[in-house]
Amino acid sequence: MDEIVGKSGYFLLVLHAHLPYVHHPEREEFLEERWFFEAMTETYIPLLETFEKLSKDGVEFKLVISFSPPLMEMIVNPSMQEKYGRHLRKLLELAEKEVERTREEDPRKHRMANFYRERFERALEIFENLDGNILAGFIELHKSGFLEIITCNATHAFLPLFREYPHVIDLQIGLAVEIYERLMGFPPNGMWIAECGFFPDLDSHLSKFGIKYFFLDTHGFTFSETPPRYGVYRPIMTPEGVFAFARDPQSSEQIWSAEIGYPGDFNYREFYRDIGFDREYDYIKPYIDKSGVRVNTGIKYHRITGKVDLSEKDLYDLDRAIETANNHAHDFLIKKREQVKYLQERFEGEIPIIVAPFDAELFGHWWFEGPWFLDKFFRLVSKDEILGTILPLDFLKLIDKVQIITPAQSSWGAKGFNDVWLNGKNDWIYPHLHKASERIIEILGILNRKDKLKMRAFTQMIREFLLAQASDWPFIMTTGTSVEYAVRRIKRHIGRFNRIYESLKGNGIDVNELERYELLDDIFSEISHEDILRILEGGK
Amino acid sequence: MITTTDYEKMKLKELRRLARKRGIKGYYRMRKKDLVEALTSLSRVLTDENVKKITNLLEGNPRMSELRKIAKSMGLKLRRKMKKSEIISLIETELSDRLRKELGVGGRSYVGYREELRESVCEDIEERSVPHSYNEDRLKALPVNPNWIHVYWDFSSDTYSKVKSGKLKLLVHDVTYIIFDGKNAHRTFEFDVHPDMRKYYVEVPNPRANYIVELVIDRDGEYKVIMRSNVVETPPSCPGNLGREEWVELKSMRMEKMKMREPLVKSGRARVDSSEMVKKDG
Repeated sequence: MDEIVGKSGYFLLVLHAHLPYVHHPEREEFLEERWFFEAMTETYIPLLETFEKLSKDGVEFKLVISFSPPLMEMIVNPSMQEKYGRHLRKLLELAEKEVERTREEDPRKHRMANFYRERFERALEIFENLDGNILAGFIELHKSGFLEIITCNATHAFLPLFREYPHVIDLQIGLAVEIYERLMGFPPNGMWIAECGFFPDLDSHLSKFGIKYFFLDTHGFTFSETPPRYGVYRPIMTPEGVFAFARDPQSSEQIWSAEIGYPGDFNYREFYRDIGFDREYDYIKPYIDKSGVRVNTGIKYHRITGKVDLSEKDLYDLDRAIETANNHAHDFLIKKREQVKYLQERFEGEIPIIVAPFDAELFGHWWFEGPWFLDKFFRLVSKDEILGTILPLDFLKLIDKVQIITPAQSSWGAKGFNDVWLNGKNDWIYPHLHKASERIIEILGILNRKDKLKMRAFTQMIREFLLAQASDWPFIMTTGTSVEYAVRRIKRHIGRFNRIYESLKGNGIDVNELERYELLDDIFSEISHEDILRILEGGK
Repeated sequence: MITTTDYEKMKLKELRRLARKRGIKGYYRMRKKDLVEALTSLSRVLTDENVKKITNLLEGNPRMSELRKIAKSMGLKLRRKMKKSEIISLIETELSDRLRKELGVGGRSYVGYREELRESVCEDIEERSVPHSYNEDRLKALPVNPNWIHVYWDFSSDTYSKVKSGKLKLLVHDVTYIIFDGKNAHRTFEFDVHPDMRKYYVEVPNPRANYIVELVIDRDGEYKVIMRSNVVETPPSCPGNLGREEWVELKSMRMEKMKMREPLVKSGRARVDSSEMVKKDG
């Protein structure tokens, strides 16, 4: 650890990778599965490629990446892998057609078409080299110490709205730990709490399942009963002995803000101009949704340009975009150095840590050049004398004392509390979710543990409950896109939950129906009823 | 589903544009009345219900006579000696075609309809298992933010029959730092509600406070409590002031307490949130 001692301060990047579980095994193609495909091609594979290249080049870099259990499940699911492989090959075919087609068009377009073809070829190569399981690539990097993979509560439920149901909190946290262990072979150190949704006492559940650290939004620290002496620039310990790190508002704004953040630069790629919408229907039809609905393909030729209509966007210039990403990485480094210097002065020599958590999908998917920015930034930091990058537990080794604080109820959603997940558009889900929470206890009381069929039904009932709990559904209802799908998903899972509940209370389990649910909602299939019972009945 | 009156309300220009989009031949020669009729008759075939009905028939084992009837209603000309499968395929192609014209590329295709139908039978059963009421008394309160709480309630049929015509009120009690005995709240706020509202948002004065909600029936100024909620804690909206600091030395795990000092650095709330940039389109 000698090399890291002596830095004035540290920067900790936390990427939270998550998608709701959108696996539809009953269909060959399903529109919402594209969410996963897009994130694979645009974020997860490019990030893996970036980090692998950094490690190959001997660059010292550290970051935390959380994979939510539903995302992990989708990544390792063979049927999803097959579907993605098919999707990617088709995308490559489209890129090849584009290479031909753009010969007659603007040379900038032609260059990009070639760029996309190479890019998709490389993605396919990375994907196939790992036998379709890209998580394995990240695990390698975890093992060599560059990044730390952490988990997230089981189905990304927004926990503050389940505060009244401790067994549900246990289920979300305990199962996440269990799934992580199965896939990784060792327990997780940290957990990303969905939406940073914290309520006092959540830490006791985290501690129960061996979680050592988690992350909060800024005001989770600063609005606590005793505002921490070092603000958000040092971890704290909760009364239950779990460490917490909080988000630095400045870094968030610099990178994240759509208005003033880097991703809005005019030279960067325009997300909303995609050949899925631009090319004539008959040509693009094989590459969009089977139903004929136009969707994003991922091939985009335009740059943000400015505040102009989509139709007036200028063509993308690859060199200029790369240069801009490099400049932004330089700029960010300078800002972080200044921040560290300022903080260290105020802290009377104590070392600050700047924590910058983001949705992983920002990098690559929304901000196309994001992975290049990270690449450059990590290369610069690795040579910097003042600033370093570090993993959470290693930072704790550098300091003698931490403040004990009970963090405040908070989240990183709009307005900072529960508004996004509880408002007039989505509040109808909670009576059902809460009732289901109680029904789990009710069934536990009458369940015959020796009845194999009943235990199977109970396990599926829990799966339906967990799937219904995802914070993505109320989030989508609030933001207003894909609402129909989100409503259908919640209703389906609640409906299926209630069907199984009724059958467990009565005497009739319909095996065909149960099999159908097991097939359709196949999340956490390796989790047994023993695991669930152990977690529900007293934790680890 | 657009009805005749909807079309009648449209301007001629809009109707023409629509007619062109939907491939109505000779639309530019038509008068408003004819356009409305042409568009309505097109929609008539393509209501969700109709498409589903036809799909349903095709999915089953339709009789020849039924197929001919559908084809006729869609204005399809059938050759004599056509096989069943040929007619089905003809109807399906026409349906797909018309759906595309009717809905543009943003709509659902015929294949979409068909797949949906296969699932819809099961889904109907599942959706019926998401009840409007669980037939039990329940009053729950949830925090929304420092100044708002959300309340929802449900009734058993017994209770419902007792309260449905009565005057209902929500009482919101500030019970911060106390054990509520029904009478000792710091203060109480009242709101008139209707039993069928089932939910309510209450603006409360204090962040970092505890509230309990009661649903009461008002009998000439006398309140009878029907249900009482859980305690709900509103989140803080500013730094607290506990007055002391606690530290722990990591090597020895020794605790240390001291008087609270000023934080060395002030950091407000982040001005961006997770929904600002990411997931804009789901």
